[in-house]
Amino acid sequence: MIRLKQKSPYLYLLPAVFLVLGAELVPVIYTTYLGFTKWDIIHKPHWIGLRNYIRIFSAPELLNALKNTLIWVIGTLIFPVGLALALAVLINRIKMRALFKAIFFIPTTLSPTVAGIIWRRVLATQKGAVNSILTAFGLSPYAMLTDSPLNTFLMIGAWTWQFLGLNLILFLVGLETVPKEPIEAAKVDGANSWQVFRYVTLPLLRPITMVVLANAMINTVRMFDIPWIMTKGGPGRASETLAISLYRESFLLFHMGLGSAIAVVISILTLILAWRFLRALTTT
Amino acid sequence: MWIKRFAVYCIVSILALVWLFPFAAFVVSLVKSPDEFDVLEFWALPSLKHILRNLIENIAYAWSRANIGNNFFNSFIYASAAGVGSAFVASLAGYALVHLSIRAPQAWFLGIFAGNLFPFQMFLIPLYVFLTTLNLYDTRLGLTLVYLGICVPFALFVYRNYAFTIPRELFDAAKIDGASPFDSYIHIFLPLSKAAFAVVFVFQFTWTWNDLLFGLVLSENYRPVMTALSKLSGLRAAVPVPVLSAGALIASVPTILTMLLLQRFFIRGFTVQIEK
Repeated sequence: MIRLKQKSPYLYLLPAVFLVLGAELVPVIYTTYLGFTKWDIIHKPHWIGLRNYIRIFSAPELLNALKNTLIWVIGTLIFPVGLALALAVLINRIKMRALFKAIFFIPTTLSPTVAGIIWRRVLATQKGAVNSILTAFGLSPYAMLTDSPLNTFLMIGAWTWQFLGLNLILFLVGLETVPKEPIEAAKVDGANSWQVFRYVTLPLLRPITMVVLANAMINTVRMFDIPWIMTKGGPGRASETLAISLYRESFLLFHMGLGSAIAVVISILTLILAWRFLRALTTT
Repeated sequence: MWIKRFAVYCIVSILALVWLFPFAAFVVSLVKSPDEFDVLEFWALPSLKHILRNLIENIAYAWSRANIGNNFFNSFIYASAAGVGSAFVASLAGYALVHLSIRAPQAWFLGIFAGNLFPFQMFLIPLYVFLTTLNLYDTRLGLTLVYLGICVPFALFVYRNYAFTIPRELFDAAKIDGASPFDSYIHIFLPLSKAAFAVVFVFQFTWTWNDLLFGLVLSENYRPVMTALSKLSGLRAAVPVPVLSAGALIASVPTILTMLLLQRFFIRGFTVQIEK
């Protein structure tokens, strides 16, 4: 045993390789294969070529899920990422930084599931925080969570509330490492604050921006928790994201082949959207 | 310039109030008894002496009658095992890849790290099939192994980065003194990579604790706490709203504490990606 330990450094890799093969790499190959089959989990998988993929890009409910997922991606770029950057720049120059930082960070300590539960109470029709204020002003309550596409935007709001704090902290960490001299120099040369931000601060923030964007893209394309808690993809299937379609098709309707094909589409979409940022991280 | 500064304070303060609003709604739904929640206005509070009693009763209801206590315990096992286990497995691999003679260490690293490039949905259906076949569906062991496996690639990324910061000369000197590679791992590598442990543990504990999807697909009786909470929040409301809120509070305590005490390690989990 002792000789083995000395002779074979590969033994140190064994647990990691074993776990990653079993939990991830073999499943990736298996899912890719299942994506070309029709499988109800009871009978044997049955090869049907590209039919699942044709279905994804032609069935209205799945095309709609693809559209919703892209709305989530754009919404994430604007709010939890873009707004966090703007807020970081603003907070960075005021005195009560620590207080504001703490307020915006608290929701990040909660899980997306809990954030969804809290926001469902905020937006609920009966005994909801917003609607009870509306009724106090004599307005009638509005069923916001069953109004599509409004509910998708409201859920992006809940996601912003939960996710912005993390990006804010990361941008603030990035701003701390930005040297003062180039900013002072640009100001002396007569640059206004937008020009300083656009041409000096932003390029210097590039590394942390790549981390934030890669993380945001990965987490948004696979968005499941918040829509599952807040609307279950409803009404009907109107606010489904691809991740919810996958769960519904695979584990509620037992279309395991179609579900696998959706997983492949989610992977490809993630790679397309995050590739630039991931590559920037591995090469710089 | 004071106008500009005043405007900044206004914008940030308004946004901060928007951020606090859901917490206010959460608190008023938490401190009422289920009956009071039905009878009183949403924003109305019960009398001060009832608040504490209601809070305790809601928490007790959620913990025992709604069974969140058991799920809390399950999640504690999953998240601790995934945090400690993935750190241990990754420390062995990171040590070997950087400080032992392994052929094509970069290829091994990329092979293991590749798992991190796919969204979790890519693993879901096969893992369901594997666990069912191995009779590990809905067992604590099965879920622990799944969470552990999913946590390994990023843990390795962190450990490998830290391994590069430990000078090779330390291991060479130990070797001359007759230490085996395993001795060096125990006595040099592990003590010097404590920071990596903290980053990996905090990051993966939090991720596993917050997971909803794997719990939903892979468990029934041994559900992690977020999955149990999502079942309680189902449209056919299984418990009164104040009890659901109490459950959400209980489920959030570990991550709130972790973030309060160990936030810097969590943030390091991100910034470590841009250090060379």
